[in-house]
Amino acid sequence: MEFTDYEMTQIIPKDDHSHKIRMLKNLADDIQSQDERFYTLVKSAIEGEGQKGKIAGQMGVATMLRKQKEQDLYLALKIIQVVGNFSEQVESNKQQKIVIRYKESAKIK
Amino acid sequence: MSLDKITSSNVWMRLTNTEYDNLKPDELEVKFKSIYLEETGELFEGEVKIYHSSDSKNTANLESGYDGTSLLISEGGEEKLYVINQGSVDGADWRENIKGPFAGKSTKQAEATKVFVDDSKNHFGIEDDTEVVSFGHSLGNHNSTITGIVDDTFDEIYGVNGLQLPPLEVYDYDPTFFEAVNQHFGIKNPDDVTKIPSNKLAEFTKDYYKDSPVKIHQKISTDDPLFAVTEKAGLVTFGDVEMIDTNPEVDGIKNLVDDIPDDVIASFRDLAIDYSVADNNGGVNEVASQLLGVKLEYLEGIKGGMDVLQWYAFDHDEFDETIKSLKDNLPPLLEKVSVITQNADTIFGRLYEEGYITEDQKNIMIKEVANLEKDLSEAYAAIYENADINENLNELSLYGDYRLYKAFQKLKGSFTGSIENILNSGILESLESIKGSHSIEEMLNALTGGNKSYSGKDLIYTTTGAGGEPIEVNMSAALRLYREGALIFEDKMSAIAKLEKAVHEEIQLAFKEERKKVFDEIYHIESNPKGYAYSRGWMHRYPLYEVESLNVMDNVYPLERADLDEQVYEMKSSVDSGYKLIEDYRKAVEDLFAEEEKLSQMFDLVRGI
Repeated sequence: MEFTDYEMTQIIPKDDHSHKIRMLKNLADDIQSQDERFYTLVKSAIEGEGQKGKIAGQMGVATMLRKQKEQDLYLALKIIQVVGNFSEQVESNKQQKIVIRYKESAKIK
Repeated sequence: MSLDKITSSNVWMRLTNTEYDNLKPDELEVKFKSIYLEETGELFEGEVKIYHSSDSKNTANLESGYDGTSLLISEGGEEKLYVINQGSVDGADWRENIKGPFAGKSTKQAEATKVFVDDSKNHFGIEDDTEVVSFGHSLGNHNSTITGIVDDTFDEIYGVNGLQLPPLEVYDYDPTFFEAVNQHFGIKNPDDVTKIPSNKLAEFTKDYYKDSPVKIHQKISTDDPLFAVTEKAGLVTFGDVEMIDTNPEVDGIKNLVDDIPDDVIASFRDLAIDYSVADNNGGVNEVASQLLGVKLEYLEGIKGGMDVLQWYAFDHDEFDETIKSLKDNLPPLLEKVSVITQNADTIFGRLYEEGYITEDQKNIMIKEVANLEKDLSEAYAAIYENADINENLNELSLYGDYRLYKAFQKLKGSFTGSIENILNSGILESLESIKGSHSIEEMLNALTGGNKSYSGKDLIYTTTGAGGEPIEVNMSAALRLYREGALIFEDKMSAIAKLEKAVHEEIQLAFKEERKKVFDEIYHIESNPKGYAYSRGWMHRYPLYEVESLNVMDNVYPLERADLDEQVYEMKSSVDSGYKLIEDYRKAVEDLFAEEEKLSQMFDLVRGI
């Protein structure tokens, strides 16, 4: 005689992946600090050192638009989302449905 | 290419001006190469090593306040040590440094200059025969001239608006000169050296050091206030001197100084130093406080005679401090103001005639310095007669509280009012042009013609717009932007690459790794069903039955929605557009100055710095 049973099983223990957010966020901050460096450079070259006129004005406006666009990337939020999705899928794979097949014990026979 | 271009006027003067910024060695190297490129149109490809006086313990131990930087520069087999001696930087420095040399009391900075050069040679490990060149402005020139002439510290000295050699100071510094002066003028007591007429001592000094091997090259503004007092102070000028009229709108302050008696100049100088120190701290009250040596806020609450008594009774220390300071400070201040009042028509009349101040400012000054003298005299008389200090007991006695109240009123009200009127007249701003004529910037502008000029430390190009209006471009800033902008975008691109790599490793590869672990575990479970079933407690869950096999359903999916591809693409595009932005900027500047042949080359070369 045989029959089957099912078990939803955590086959590998759960993990916390939030350190990946901190790690990736630091790298993103480094990128954004380069953007800040550029704005500061343009600001000091254009505004701080008496640059006037059309060229300086155009450069100032273009840099301001860049700044707005770069801020629109929401990189930090996206990183949280990516690591969240990764974590969810990794942890989901660790839970598996196992089919257990039982058979009448030989000792009984 | 040789090192000669470093001593072309605009290069060495701009480098000397940069010394005031106290840059770090790597920043100074970039600055040197930038100046070299802007002035010569060529990239300096030699080697530059930098050493600052703050790193020289022997120099610091002298506690002279000396600041300097040495640059060991080599190129094409040639090597020279260049030493930039910093001039005075603030009111406190002027107080210490100008008064010292004028009074012959400060040799420490000259000594520090020599020690620093010796230390620099040791630091760089260079031979004694390496040529040493000094650059100096103001006090910096004074320091290098003394040790250059007396100790042969330098082979060449370049000075701009330099403080000249003070014989009284060299008398203290050089023992052989000391002996020679004593012998020539029959001096028995060194204190008597000040009795020698300054022109005689200057002549002797000039002759004594005429064979000094050091080559001195000086550029001096005829409008420089320091030049104006050089002769009167008995200072001696050496080397080839190029006099330049840096402010053609005025005749030069020397004529004016020559017309004004020495004691008036000294009083004016002392008050100016006090003012500049106070002005750095800010405000009318600060100027008044600095001049009087008291805190004016102490006087705020004094509304009548009773308040004076209360102040005396309840804040005795504060009251003592104020009265003692006034008793100490009012007489010398009054003396200086009186000298100026007596000569007010000459001083302010001549300043007006020479174009430094307006007629209104002249009239305000004549009126207000008279008021100042009157207020100070009355206040001093009241304090002198109504408060007595017993120096032995260090105690203060008070007699006429009402008269003291009136004295305080004078100081608080009309005295500060007069100072306020003087400040509001704009005369100090007008006199700024005198200070400006001491600057390297004004000298550079006087020496540079055409469409080039200088603002602060930067090179400016000027052209004419379509409407005839002048268009100025700060070329130093434009080149800096072009060079540093590219460096920033390089750094940004490498930061993006790091993020991309990290996402690949920490998300994509890590997921594969995790997935592999899951498959390994599934294999382990399925190939070892009984062992796994025992570990889970499933083996004998049902009596009479045991686990025969285990099958994992194998629901393992690939990774989704976990990448930054779009963001990375956007960021890379942003770097591309950043490069384009600075290229467009370069093109716009080049179009504006199409006739400048070297400009395009400068943009090309600046990234090689």
